[in-house]
Amino acid sequence: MNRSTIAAIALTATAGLALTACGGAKPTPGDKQGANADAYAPVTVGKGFTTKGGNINVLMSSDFQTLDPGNSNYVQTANVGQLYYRTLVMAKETAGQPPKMVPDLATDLGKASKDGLTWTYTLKKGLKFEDGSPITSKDIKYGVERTYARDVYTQAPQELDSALADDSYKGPYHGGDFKGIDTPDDQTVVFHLKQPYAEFPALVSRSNTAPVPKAKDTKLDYTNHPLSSGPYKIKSYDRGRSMKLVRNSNWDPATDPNRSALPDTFTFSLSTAQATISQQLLANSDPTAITLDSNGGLQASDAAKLNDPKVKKRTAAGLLGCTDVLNLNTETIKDKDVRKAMALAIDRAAVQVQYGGARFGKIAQSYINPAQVGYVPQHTDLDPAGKPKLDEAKKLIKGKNVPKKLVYGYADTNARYKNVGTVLQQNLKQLGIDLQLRPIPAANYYTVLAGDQMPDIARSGWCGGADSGSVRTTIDPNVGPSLDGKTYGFSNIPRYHDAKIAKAMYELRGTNGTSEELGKKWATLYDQAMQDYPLVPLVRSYTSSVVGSKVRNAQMGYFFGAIDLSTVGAEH
Amino acid sequence: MTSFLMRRFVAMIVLLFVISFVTFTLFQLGPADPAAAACGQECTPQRIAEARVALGMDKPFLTQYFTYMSGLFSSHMVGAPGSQALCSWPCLGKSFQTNEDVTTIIARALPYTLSVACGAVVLWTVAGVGLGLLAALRKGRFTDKLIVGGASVGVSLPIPVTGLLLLLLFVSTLDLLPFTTNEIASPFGAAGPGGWFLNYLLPWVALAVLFSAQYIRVTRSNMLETLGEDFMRTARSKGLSRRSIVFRHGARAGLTPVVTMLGLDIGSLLGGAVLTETIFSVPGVGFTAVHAAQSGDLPVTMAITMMAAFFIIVANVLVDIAYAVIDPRVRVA
Amino acid sequence: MTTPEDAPMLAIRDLRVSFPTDDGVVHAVNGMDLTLARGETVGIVGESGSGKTVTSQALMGLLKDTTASVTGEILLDGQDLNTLTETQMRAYRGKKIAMIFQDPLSAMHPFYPVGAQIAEAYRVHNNVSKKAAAQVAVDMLGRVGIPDPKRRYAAYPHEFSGGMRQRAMIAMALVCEPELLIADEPTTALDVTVQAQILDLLNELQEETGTSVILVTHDLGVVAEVCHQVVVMYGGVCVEQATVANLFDDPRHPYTQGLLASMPSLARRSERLSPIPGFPPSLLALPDGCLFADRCPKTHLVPDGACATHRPTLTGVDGHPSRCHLETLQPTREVA
Repeated sequence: MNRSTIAAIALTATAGLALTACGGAKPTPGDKQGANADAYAPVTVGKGFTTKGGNINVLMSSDFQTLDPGNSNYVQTANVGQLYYRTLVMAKETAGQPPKMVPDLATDLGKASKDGLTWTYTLKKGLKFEDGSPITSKDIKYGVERTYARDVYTQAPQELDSALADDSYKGPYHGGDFKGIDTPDDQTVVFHLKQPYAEFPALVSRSNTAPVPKAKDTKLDYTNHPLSSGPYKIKSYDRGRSMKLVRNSNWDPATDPNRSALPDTFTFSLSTAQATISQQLLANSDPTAITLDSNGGLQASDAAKLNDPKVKKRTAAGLLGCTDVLNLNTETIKDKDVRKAMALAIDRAAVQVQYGGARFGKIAQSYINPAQVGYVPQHTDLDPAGKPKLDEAKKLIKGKNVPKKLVYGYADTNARYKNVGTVLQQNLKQLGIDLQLRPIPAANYYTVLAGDQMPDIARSGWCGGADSGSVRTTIDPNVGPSLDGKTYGFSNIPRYHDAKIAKAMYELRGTNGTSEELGKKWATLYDQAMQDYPLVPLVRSYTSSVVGSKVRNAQMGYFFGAIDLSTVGAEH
Repeated sequence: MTSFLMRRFVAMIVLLFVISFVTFTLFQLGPADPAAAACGQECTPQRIAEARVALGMDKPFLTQYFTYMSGLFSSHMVGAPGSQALCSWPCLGKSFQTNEDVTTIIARALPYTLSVACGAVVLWTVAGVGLGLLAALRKGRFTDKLIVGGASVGVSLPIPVTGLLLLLLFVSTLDLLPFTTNEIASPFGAAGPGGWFLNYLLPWVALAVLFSAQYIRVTRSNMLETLGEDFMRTARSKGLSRRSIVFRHGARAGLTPVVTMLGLDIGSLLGGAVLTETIFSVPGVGFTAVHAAQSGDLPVTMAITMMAAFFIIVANVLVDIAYAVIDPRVRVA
Repeated sequence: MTTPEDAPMLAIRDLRVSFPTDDGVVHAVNGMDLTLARGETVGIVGESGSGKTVTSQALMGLLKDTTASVTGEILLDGQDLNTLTETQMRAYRGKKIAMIFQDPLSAMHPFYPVGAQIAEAYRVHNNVSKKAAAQVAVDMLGRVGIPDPKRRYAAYPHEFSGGMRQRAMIAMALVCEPELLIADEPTTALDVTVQAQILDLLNELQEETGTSVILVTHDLGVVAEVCHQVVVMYGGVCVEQATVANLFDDPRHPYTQGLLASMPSLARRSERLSPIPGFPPSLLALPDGCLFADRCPKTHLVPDGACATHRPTLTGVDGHPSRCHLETLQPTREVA
């Protein structure tokens, strides 16, 4: 992408609505697919830096929701968690690529039984908590047990739990012993599964398997000082204001090749306004500063400043695993040709502008991408540049019973989603559809989409699910059937249910095999499902994050959507 | 005067209870369900039910209200059956996010808000009343026109605009002042009064630009009205000095409406200067409220709402009392 | 400065006051003359806009430091007040000249006790303790006929009745025993029974203290009751000056004649009032000739249409001058 293109994008981004009203941004001449792909290549600042020492100052607009690995569904917590807790397997970030599963506390990625129903892990030797006590299999088990106490932990991660046997377990506080995990000795953890699950290593990379010693469990207050098993420990934590991490002397780097743990300390400023964060970073007022805020704390209006060569040099960037789609309610818009016509009529390039332009997202052709295990090429009639295909759309609906009135629901906190609705309104008018915009309280947004109030059209986003490196954990939740296979699944927002595809997916869930071979089957079924247009891919996130001039090895996490804390370092 | 105070006080208590009930009801019946907010995108009905238990929202509405209000009078155990914990008096519940006592969160935020408020109030009162008086005394002259012109610019500058401009100019560009830090909550800390002053100077100025513009207008128009009053002519006829006429006779009457304004403004400012705190990264009450509201942290949002209401009501009562002290005609009522 | 005993205490000579406004210059007073002897009461009567209030304000120096232009002489005991600065004038206000106003409620500060306001007036010119000043104020309240003055000292203006308030105003004005008291419509805002009481009080106090009084009013009845001398103002000038008796018996200026004719009296209650037709001249553009010419029923008596072209001067005999061309035509008027 050349200078003028970026300047044009900056302009369209700031012009926002006005341009939308004229039908969206025009594609820049000469901006070919190849050039585009290049533009979205990951950029890492100060790659290959290995010097230890110094401090990294993390600016955040608000405190962490929680630091308790047993009560966290948040990427920010997962990112900082790499510094103070370890899990059996680690999802190791590489900018632009889905995280790679690597052994962490365990010696390998786990040994599955032949039937795929048990997975066995052996802990490395010499692992210790920050207080010097040894990390045992019991601590891993207890950590998982806590996540079943959902009447205590509203944010307990559930991906692993839903795969394990002993479903009715109520947690360690009044549920007794958990049958889903055995700990035959202090080094061995055996998981019992309901069904084979090829991506199981990804499930044990989740914070569920962070070790928690039972004696140190302070329940909801554990968030104030989770006992460290990682390279850093919490030295001070002033809620809502600041936190300081220092080296954990009981962490043995020999057991941990994944974390370079370069800085001596991390400081977190937890109440810096977003506008101030972007100002501070752009101005390089603290050369050791980074941020974990989404979009690097940047606003669409900052896009122009990112072209300043001095700033560009300090900007880490990369595609994320997160893709936004438009769900078409298949229960209210029953005709797949009508859905396809709607999909073709939508000006996705104009939608991209609402997301801040190309700087903030790439027009997506599918929910899944080639970097994921099990990907097979996907077919779609959507224009790769995001332009609407009106003639084709109109041809499709000829003689069809097209709904006169449809409702688009949007989360009410972000003007962007309302603006997307305005774009859709104009696009669908071309098909004679009158689109109404209905705000939905952001806090309950997904609950509403799952319930009776699901509108005809609604946006949703997905970042890859339990295993962002595998196609399955995107496909199954988003278009898959319910647990019994008889209807659509709970988070299947378009309520897509094709009996044949659903049956195949249901069977695939219980099939034993490798992630690769099963993934290909999932991807093939998904491609079939997508010919019915239950959803329209919109934009895949591309995030830039400006860092201070002394920050090195700053890579954009595909899963974290921010600078990966496990590898970042500082010149000092 | 005593019965006047008693009546105001009783009315205040009643009003606070009404407000607590209304606030509680609004949050309960509001569109945002904290339980649903707590479990996110893959939230099954079962998970919502579990979250409801965890948040103590499974009980009947009135029970919840009485439990909540009882915390104002005594310590009690809060939390789900699996995680009961003592919430010490005065208990406003525990944060859904951090599990801290809400009172702890507010107590932590309040010094920041006080820091922002006290400096801003002093600055805008001195500037607003001073310039307003000056404009009134120089009515129609250049000074007056300059002040009135400046005020109409100031009054139309919203805090986000002045705030960002000040940040860009004094911090980013000229590098004269540091970015506001959350390490300085009061003038008594390690940074000392000087550090505190510099840290809060820009928020004060941003607030003062807006507020003093309003105070200039009110002061000027009220002073002009007062200067034309018969009793001002009387004061002059007595042979009083100009200073005595303007301040002892004029300002006393002309600034009464300013006292009302000031009281109410201080009251609402203590409930959190949301925009100012957000822009300048001051983790005060307003800042806390915004984050709590965004993350569906009901106990914190509610406590701050009630506290803001409390401050405004108390400010109203204080203004009433101040009025009675200043203007003897009011005391009869 | 020494003043001969027989010289008038107050002499106003060719007083002119004008105010610049957006519409032009308003000529409020246009050559006012007045003399007042010690211990005498003079009434200034006229319609609203005739310049009587502006004249009294000029006397108090209240027009200093404003946009008004004041020329001419205001000689008080031989000292020209018009040449004094605001600061110098302050020593006169309250001390030598005091003033009471039409509406005592608005003229008193609503936030201070009545007694304190009187004591303040005393302390401005007398270097005494607050306590001593308070005692003076209490005494003064008693002198103006306020019952239980000690208790009423701490009361606020709104707690007084209208009459009591005006008594208190008088107390405030007289507390420094001024040589001259200007009473600007002191009874207009009061109801009729109280009016008489206040006028009686003024009379009494004047006799007691020997203070000269200028009573500004539009009410000839009030003038008849308390004044020795009367000055009739019209268009910012004095059109006639006479003793009360002379004025009522022998009004010389056609305007005075009109005024008297329009005055309701017990004797002529049943008759129709005959107000003077027309309006006072615009103070923005004064006519060249007599200011009353437009409304005057007697212009035909003056030859050559002089009323419209020449402004008459104040002339007359027997200390009863009138500003009318007819005066100069009848130099040998008989003494009544």
